[in-house]
Amino acid sequence: MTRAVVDAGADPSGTRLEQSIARVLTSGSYAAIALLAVGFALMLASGIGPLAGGPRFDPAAIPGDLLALRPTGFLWLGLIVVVATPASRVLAALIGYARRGERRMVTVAALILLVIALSVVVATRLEG
Amino acid sequence: MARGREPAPPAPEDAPAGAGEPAAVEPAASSFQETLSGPGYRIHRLGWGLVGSVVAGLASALLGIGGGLVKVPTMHVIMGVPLRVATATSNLMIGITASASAIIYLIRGGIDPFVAAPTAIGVFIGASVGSRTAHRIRLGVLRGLFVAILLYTAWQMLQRAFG
Repeated sequence: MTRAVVDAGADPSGTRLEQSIARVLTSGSYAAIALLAVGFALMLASGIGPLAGGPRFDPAAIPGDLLALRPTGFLWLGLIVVVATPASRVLAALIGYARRGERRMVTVAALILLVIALSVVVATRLEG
Repeated sequence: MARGREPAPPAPEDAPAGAGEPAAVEPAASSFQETLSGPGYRIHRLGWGLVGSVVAGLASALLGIGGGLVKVPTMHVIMGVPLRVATATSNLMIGITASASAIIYLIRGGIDPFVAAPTAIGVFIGASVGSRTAHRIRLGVLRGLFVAILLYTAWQMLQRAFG
């Protein structure tokens, strides 16, 4: 739908931009699924069922869990990558459009990131 | 890419009726609208598309249904986006908008990793198979599938409302 998509066939820089965005999406997806698959395998190996009730999200505990090969470390890190991948794709698009000098598309990408950030800030403020 | 008042290239196979027609339908198309066109089709009725997106967001938040059920018909039928492009675009948009609420659920502790992991793996497998086979499936079958899912969702919503 964007100009980059439209021009991708004719414009080499548009093709490169599309390829770099696709790389962010695919590498993020594969990394997340790999982490989740390892976590799920460790979960089953530890005799934990999906309905056992998981622990609360604690970012500080993730490195320790990873080093100890506990399933929760891999699962939380995988979920963080899942959640972060779409926003990373928008960020990659923003950088690509900025390099191409497409100010309008930079604005659109920046607005999308702003909306994501605002919704998180508003929700956490309301929670507090 | 379609430009200005040049005649649009022929509509692709899965373009809705009217897509790819000359800009005579919308003579006052803005330059921004012109940039939102693809090979073989031209976006039109951008304002109605925005209205449809708002309805999609409201339906998604109020009824718990995926916004794609509204966004895909809006893009395909109203804006003239080919069905395959509309479904791919809807997927991307859902990923971005859902990530905002997912971050909030993550921070609030509303995600159970033991349930989320196998679900995400299943969705990943299904989405990979779906996106690789979508272009091989006849368009009529894709449309039929979409209508069937719409009807099933409508039936479920009716049951929840009156059941």
